[in-house]
Amino acid sequence: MRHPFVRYIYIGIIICVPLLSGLIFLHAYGHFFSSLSDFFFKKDKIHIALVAPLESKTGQQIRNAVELYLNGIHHRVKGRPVELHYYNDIQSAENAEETALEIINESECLVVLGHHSNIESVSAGKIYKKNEMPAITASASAEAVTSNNRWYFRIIPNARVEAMLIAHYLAKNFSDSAITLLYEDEAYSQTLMLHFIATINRRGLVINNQLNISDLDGEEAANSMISRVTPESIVFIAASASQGAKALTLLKNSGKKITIFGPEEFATENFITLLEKVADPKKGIGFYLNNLYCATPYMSAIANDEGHLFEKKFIRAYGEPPVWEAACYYDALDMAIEAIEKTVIERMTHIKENRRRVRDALDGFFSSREALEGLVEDLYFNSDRDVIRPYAMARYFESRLISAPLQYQTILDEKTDTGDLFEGIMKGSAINMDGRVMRNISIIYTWIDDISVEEIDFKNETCSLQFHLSLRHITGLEFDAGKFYFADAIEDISPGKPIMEEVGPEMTSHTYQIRGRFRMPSDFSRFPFDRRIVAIRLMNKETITNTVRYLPDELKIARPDNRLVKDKSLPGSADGWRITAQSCYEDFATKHSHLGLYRFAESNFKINHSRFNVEIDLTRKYYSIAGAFLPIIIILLGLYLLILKYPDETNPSSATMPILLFIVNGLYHGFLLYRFPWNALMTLEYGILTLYLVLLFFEGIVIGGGKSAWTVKVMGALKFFYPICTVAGCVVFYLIYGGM
Amino acid sequence: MTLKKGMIASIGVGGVILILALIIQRFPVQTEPYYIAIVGPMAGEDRENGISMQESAKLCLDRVKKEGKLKGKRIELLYFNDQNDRRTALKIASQITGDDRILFVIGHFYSMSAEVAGAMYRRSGIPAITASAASDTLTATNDWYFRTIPDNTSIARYTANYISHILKKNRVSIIYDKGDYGASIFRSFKAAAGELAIEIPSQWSFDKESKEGQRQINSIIAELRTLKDPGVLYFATQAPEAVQILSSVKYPGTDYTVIGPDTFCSSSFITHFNRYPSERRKCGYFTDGIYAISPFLSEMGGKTTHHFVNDYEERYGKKPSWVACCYYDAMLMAVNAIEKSDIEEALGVQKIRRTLRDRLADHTSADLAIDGVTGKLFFDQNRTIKRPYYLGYYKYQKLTPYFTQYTVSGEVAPSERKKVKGVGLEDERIIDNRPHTETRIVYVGFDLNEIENVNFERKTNTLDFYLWFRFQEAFDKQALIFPDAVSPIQLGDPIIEDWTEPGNLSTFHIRSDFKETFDLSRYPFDTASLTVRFYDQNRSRQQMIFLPDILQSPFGETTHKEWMPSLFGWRGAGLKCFETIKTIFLSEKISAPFSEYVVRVLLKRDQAPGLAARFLTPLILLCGLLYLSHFISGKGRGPLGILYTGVTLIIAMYHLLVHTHFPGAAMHMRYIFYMLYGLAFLSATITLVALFMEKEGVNLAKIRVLRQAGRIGFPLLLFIGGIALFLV
Repeated sequence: MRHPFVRYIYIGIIICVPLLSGLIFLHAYGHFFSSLSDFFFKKDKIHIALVAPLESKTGQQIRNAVELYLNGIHHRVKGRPVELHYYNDIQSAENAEETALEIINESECLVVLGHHSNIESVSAGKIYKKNEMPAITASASAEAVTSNNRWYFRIIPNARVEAMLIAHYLAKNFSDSAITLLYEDEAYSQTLMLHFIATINRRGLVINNQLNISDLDGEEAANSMISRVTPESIVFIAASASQGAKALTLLKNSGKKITIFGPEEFATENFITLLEKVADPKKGIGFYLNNLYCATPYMSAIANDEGHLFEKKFIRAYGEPPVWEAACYYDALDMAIEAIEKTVIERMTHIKENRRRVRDALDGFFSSREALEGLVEDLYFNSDRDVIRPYAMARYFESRLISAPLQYQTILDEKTDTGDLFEGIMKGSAINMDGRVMRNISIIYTWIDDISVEEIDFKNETCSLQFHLSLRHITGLEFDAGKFYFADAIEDISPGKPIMEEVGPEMTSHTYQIRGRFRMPSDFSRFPFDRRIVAIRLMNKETITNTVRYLPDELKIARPDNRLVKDKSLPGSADGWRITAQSCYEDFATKHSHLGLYRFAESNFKINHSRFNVEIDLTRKYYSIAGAFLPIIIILLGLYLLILKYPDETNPSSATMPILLFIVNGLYHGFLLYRFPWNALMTLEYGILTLYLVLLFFEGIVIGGGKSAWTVKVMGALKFFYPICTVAGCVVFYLIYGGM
Repeated sequence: MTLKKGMIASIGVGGVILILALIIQRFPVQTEPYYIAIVGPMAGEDRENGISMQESAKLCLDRVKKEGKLKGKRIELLYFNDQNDRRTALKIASQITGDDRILFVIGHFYSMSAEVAGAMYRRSGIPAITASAASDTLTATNDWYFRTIPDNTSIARYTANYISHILKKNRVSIIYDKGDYGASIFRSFKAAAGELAIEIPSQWSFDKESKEGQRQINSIIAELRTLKDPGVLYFATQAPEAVQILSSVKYPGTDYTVIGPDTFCSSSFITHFNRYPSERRKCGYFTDGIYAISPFLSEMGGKTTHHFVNDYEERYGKKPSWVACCYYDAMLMAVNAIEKSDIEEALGVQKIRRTLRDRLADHTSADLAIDGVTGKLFFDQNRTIKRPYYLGYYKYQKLTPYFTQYTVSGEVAPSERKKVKGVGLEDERIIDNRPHTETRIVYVGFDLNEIENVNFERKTNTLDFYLWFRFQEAFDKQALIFPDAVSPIQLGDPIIEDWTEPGNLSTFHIRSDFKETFDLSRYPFDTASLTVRFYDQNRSRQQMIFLPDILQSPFGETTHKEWMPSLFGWRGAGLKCFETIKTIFLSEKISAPFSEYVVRVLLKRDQAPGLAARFLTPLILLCGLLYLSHFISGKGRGPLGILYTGVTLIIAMYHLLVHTHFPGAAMHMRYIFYMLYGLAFLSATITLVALFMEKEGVNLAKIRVLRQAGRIGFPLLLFIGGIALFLV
């Protein structure tokens, strides 16, 4: 006969299980319901227009980047859904005007992102100005876009800043060489030329040759240009992508040993396409691009932690790294959304008023205190609605764009950051750009390989490693091996003398053999799906300012025989573990401290130090994971045996089995607690605690139900459902906790 | 039978009488209370001051009652709003003196109200104590009026000394209000300035009561703007007029040194500035760098002050102003007098008041002083307490002690001071006929970078942090002792040194191991407290005081959100930075108080509920299993044996694990295990007895009763045990 309390247990389960399931479902798919409620209750959407070259790969990447951003905010801002409208930029002034009018009159867009090209942005800008539509471009660098147009904002530095930066870079690193300037009659080129000349002259240098390359179609014109370019000189091609591609081809084909610089248009897909049309296919595109310097508004070398995070997310989502336009439009959308967040949006019938408010909100980003954290630096506008920050200097290695060995970074605090600012400017290690002071950052291309894991002590969370450390930097840099350290080393490791050293005209490299003990902090909360990370982290010793960045050496990444870990083998102490991944990347060790300075406390000051990381991921081998689950499997099988044999006439007391299994479960739990630290609940413990509950439930059924018809029926049903539920539960458990 | 009834009746009557007596004793018949009148600006512009008076008086009275010091004496408070107006003050004074229930007056706030009311109090014989009206004549000519702050003459002398010796300026231009307050301060200051050879190149006055007042103020503003170097600007005025003038002439870029009296120390001073958009937009636009002479700054107080500040903050959620501190002391003196006096109604209110006045007047020397919030409370011949004024300065609208203060010499007897190295005689200065020492204030800031190697067994951890000092005169940082450091800490070179901001700044980066005492008894709901402390072994508190820097709020959190570095298994629960007073024995007989700066990082376990569930879930389910055992029939002897053995084994296993993981820790969790052992024993005993009874053929009904007792008693005991554990 069933005891009364059993009924209450059953009632409790009937109520709790669906309730729990419903809660889990809502938690996992909550946004589905919010979308559903939007559909039924029709909340006004937020519309944003994006004008980009949709048919090109760049346009697709831009689209991917903005989608990535919107996914991050669940396509909602201020509780309202966000809808993006896409329009095509085909580099045509007429198209720009038509698109602009369409956006203004036929859509409810509050802000426009784009246009992509200079020509379209300038034309569309006039329409936006007249019709009071705010726009943010993240690719058009011509000054005319934002000049005298309070409705146009730009999230990247303009062509003037670009030219000045290139000139400063040239002056700092190639001051002994002759300089040739190639330009054309087009407005963008003229801007580059003017500011380049002015800056070069201010730095006390002269431009030896200035050549107009507006017409390079004839052989005579081409030869004339080539003949006037001095060998061993620096050539800056201040021209658009099409003329630039032609000039580059001619210069490279001439065979003259020259170093060539180009503007940001040379870092675009469009430029590569144009170059392919004019280049000699036998030589290959790499021949023409190799060692070509250009400025670019974004690359990993100047990205901050936000930028690195964006890149990781982008690669994970789309399988390829983002081009600079994608990153910049990500920032542009971020800025637009922030502005909308700060705005009171009336119903869409007041569209003009809403647009004005969004524009005013954009205007509100006018100082470092109101700045938005971008993917490179903080974003805020000057009086011309431009962002002043450095361009990245890049260089082609064959057809890959990599970081140049020197970059610029905005100084947050002039008094503390540079010491003697005036002296810095005189030496060229600091430059003043529109009131923002930027400092040289030296890039040290870093590589660690031939890692040998000699010993792993899991209990004390340490490991012994031996590896080669290669550091490559610009020749002439005051490099001191004592200035860096390994953040996870248990004791200070002195690199000693390099085992190899190469000093070239441009670059110098050092290779060290390092050996030491490192910390290996572990997160065992996911046991048995936990991973251990053997990490080597290199950074500069303590200073307030960050004058060096340790970037992964892309020349070594590209090598086919590249390997981090020697032989991928682990010592005996790591039996049961395997290497599943190896990675190297740069990030920042950030310390949030104003150090007691009032001026730091009043700004967004953070101490950022570049950190080079090599991580070797270890996970347990499958048999090791299976071994961890073995006692649980035994218990589950034991329970099934109980169900199958119920009621067991040969063993009148079926209550023994659950008790025994309970004890086994408890002993296994105790074993795990003995073995592991107690800081966090382990994944496996969820299973163990659930098993306790299940075993008590079965014990209750057995004792309470006995051999009653009802209990026999339940057990009969469980013979079928138990294995299904168990397998389903295990699958769900693995999906939730086992995802590696 | 009759006898029996009689006995019962008499016992009943006796019981009733006893009960009545108990009730009467617990709830005595309420006699009419006596009152202390608190008189001040309870509404209007200065109501913040009135509120401070009320709050501190209430806090004091409640504390004294809690300590049981007013046995049998019912004292309550009555509040009066004199609106800082003479007529109203007179009216209220008349009301007070006519009320025989009022024993004391605490107030008035302003001198002019106190003067007119004081005359009435003297005539009627009611003692009054003010902690803000500083007029010299108030107490000098009225032996019924007492004051717990120094008078205007003192204000002026301290002001002159601060300007001359601390700020090192010797030219001061004065702007004063021709009213009683301003004129009095002006006269006193002029005399004091003369003594110290301070030049007064300009002086301006206005009469705010007259129709020409505003025009006069405008004229002052105009003249100030034309002057190149007026020297220090000293305002002997009330707040509104000072704010009006300053907002017109002082702004970022100007280099006026501005100093004001106690009216600059109230919250209404800042409230007046906040009417200007510039000040609202940028905190400190006008007010940064303004100096103020304050009757008291709580940072300068001792242990009693710290306790008061903590109590005040806990009760009212804000830091006490100087008004609250000084009025607390006024109230303290009043209740102290009441405590020591006989205030029976039969004596008559006149006699009572006189007695109270006499008790107050008894405090005439340090030996007879009361330990108050603001220091030792005793009166001079003019019924005024002599104590230093402090120099504060504003930064981000907060008034903080300036880097050098005058304190009265004397923590270590002069004859002894010479004997002990490091606690020597500083340059003493005589102010108000008393020797004073210059006490250095060093502001300290702390930013935590990393926490590593938290080891509960060795009771150590590694902390990586920035430590900055803001000070005026250099001090030997190598003399700092960190008592909790595993090995001595040498500060090394600072990573930042800055001399451009107010005060000099030195910032150090420290990474070291520290000893901790972890209290694991409440695991996993325990809070770990990581402490960093230091003091200067060469300078007593008389010479140097460490205070939390303004960029690190004195009451806990740092100024930015990401203060807590990541530490696996833990999350930040708070960062407390404060000063304590550490008594150190310099020799066998001589001890001195030293200022010790304490930083406490509070950590709570992440996933505390989950960690609790790790143990509680199996233990609760074990209880379930034990309970189920009461429903297993006698035929289930086998499973019962396995059940009890297994349950006990598992409980013991968990118990052992906890014990070995936290050796030496007396954890509350052990009581859970003891309870479970008990329940297992009880269940096993009941079952065994039932089985034995079955075997012996005892009546089935009795066996059923036993089993029912187990089935009911078990959850009941579990419930009671659970409540008891929760309470523990």
